[in-house]
Amino acid sequence: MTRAAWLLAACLAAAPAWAADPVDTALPGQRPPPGGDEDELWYAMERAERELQQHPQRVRDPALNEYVRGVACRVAGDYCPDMRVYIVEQPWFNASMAPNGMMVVWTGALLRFQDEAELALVLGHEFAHFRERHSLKQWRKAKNTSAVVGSISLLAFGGGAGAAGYLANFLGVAGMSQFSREAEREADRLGFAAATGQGYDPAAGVRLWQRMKDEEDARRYGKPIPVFASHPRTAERLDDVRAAAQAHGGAGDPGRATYRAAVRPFLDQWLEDELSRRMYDTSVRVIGDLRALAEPDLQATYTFYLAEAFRRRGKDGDAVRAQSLYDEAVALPDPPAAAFREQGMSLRAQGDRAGATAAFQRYLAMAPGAGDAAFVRQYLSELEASP
Amino acid sequence: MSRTLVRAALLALALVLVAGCGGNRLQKAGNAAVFDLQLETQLDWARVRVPRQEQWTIDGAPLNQLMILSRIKPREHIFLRAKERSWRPDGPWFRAGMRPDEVRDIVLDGLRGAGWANVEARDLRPVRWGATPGLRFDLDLDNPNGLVYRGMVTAAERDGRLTLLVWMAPAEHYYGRDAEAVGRMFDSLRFVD
Repeated sequence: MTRAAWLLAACLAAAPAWAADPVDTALPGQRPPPGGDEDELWYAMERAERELQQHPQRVRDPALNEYVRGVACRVAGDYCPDMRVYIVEQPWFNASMAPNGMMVVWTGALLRFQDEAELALVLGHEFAHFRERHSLKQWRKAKNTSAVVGSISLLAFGGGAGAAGYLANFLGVAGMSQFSREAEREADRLGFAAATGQGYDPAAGVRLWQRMKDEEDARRYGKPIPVFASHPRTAERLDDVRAAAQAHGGAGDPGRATYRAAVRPFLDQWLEDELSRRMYDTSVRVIGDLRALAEPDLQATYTFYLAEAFRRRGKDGDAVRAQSLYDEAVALPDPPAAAFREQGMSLRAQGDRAGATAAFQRYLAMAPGAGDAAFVRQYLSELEASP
Repeated sequence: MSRTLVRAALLALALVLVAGCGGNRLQKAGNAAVFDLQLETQLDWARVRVPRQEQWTIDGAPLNQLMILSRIKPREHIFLRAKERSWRPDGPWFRAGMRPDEVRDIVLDGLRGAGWANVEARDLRPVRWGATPGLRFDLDLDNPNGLVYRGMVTAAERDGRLTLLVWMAPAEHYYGRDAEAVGRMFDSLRFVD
């Protein structure tokens, strides 16, 4: 637990008298009155936010930050000046909202969104937590039912400015589910209204939560995907968003082209991050979903990374699946250079010297400064020297 | 004897046993033997040994640390933290016959799992530890507080077991001060029969 969390625990453990105060919807520009428990919450969160601002995994790219903040502002309307949006390089699906307006989005969520309407829906959900002051309500409720120090993790909805390092403790999700389901459903409703009110596609939530359910179903081990640890059951949530979309009845803008353009420069890094989670069953599902819906110019990229997920998983039949996908990737427009390296590795293993040599040479021509170029040159020398 | 006393006696015994397993000593510049390796160092180090691994440092681990992990077996964590279990098949486990880039990737993922951020490798290249082929690459990474580190990694597989050396130091001052000497030390690595 961070110093800020201990400080907050000490402040709030001293039996405050505000526990029975009603919690109204926040107004734009509203700050908590000095000396109250909400003021202490904000104080602790501002300290956490200063730590987050220096965190090595904060994504600082100005264009991406401006884009995500722009979507957040669209759904937050008059509350836009009250919120700061931080993007953190973490390869899981998650977003969170702290009571002081610190909104955090993980890159794993940005990888998984297919369009701007899905991003807007999630940011609208997080904004609703802020506007309805859910953290304060939750905190006051938790104080009456659980140990103060153990409840610190309730302070930020959605859990997680940073899974890496001690920020994870501060914004963790432990114990959320037993308190927050009602608040989460309210945030779902308000987030949907905020997003569709801005003209976004009302069916975005159905698409998003169906894919998230599929991903969760593919998980064979490890902790649940963070967002599932604290939110209503996915089936229940799917029913809710489907009913909301049907009740809305209208159409909206998915904003797919805008979204794809904004995230395109980061896809390779985020796909590498996805594989570095070493949870290949879910990666196969995630990347497979991205590939199924990808535009032609991204087919080769997703096909290559899907092959990588199979190769690295290494279960029965995975090597064959991977090889087939590498072959497919190199035949598509704009293939990644590494697809030729993998093709070369396969042909070399099969004893096809000429094919392997050509593939390795193509790899080095496309990526002369590749991090593993020295080994590939060695493979070429060995192929040349072999009888 | 009360249960409390029994527990205290067992704890004391455990501490004695643990202390006996480890050992700290000074490594002066010159030839050194570590596990089944021989190397030559131009630097003086403090050596801390635990079973199958040593940590060497000059100014203290946060300022420079060399981890030497010996004879990592198939299905063991790259930093000897655990063994593969059926409920976690995809972790950074070593496997005999891994490709050099696969060894690099499990080292990087092992470091990420240990809390290091922005972990990147550069210039993966073949090397030889005497007659044994191995690999080497350079590291860029940040500690959880954002301090920028750099490092070097070298590894070689012999008889289906991997030996791994990871050296890291803050990019400011400490890496530059010792990088050349550590590189020469890596060049001198040999297995002894």
